[in-house]
Amino acid sequence: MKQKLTLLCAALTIGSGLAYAATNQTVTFTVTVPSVLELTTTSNSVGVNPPASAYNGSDAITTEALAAHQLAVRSNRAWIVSAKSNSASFAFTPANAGDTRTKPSTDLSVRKASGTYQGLTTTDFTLSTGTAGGVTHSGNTFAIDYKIATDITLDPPGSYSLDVVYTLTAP
Amino acid sequence: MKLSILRQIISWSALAACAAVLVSSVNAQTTQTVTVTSTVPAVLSLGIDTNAVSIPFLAGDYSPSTGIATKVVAGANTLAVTSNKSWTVSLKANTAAFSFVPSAGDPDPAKPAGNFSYKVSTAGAYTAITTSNVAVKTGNKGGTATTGNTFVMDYQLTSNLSQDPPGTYTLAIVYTLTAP
Repeated sequence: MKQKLTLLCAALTIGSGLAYAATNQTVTFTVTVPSVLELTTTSNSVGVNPPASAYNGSDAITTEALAAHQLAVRSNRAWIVSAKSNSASFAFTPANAGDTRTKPSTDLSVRKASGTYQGLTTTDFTLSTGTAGGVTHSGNTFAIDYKIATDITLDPPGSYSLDVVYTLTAP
Repeated sequence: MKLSILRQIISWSALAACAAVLVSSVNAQTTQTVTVTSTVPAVLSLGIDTNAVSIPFLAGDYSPSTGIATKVVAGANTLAVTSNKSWTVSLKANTAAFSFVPSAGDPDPAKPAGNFSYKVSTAGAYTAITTSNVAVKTGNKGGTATTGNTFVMDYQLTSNLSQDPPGTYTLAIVYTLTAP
């Protein structure tokens, strides 16, 4: 019985000795920075409403909505914002029952403010590019201009709507 | 003791990783849809070059035998339509008779509006005016430069010495543009 107790104490002493034996430890700290890729807009709706008097000089006119809203990018990679129309033609709600019109999406043009207008199709085109940074980073927040073409020989009175899809990618 | 610290570090690392995943989800939106709506108004405009036309009769205009005179003013008015629907221009007299301001104290002869006739310049015959609207011209949607949207009116007025005492006769005629 006494011998067994002695052996047990020895074993406990050896065990404690192993736990405190090292004088340094290495801890590996890993941090994962996520892919930050965010596109925001100041508005999801834009109205472009030419007055009747705008047609006094011509049947076909264009009407602009300058700086209609802003897009802001936050990304930790270089980025591209593309634009396209969600459909090939405008949705039309006639002012007079029975009127119909398939107004092509290309009648609506869009540009990064002060850039060059491009007619919208259902295929993406590059609207703007930029470098990594937040929304205050130079070039990462920009205004959008719209221009719509209407023609009183083609467009009966009513409301025309088109969804424009902006897509942010970091290739 | 050191194992405990290591466990804490591992725990905080896991928490940080979770937070990072959460932030990544918040920032995941990479598309925005903007609905552009344009309202094209009902464009319906009728323009005219002048709102006053004078048709003076001279003594020599009257037939010595019948006492009747007929005067024509070709191209008296030019009207111009702007519309984004097919349109109709109608014409009527505002009253059944001319108003009269005598120059020699004569009573009002109630000269009938029908003494005044009109036609589109390119048309053939004159039509006597009444107080009911009559379609004068129809056309297609478009501006004033669209073929047929600008047109000229000719007027004709008859006078009879036996019925019209000297004076000034005035009749308002009303053009109305509609897009039915």
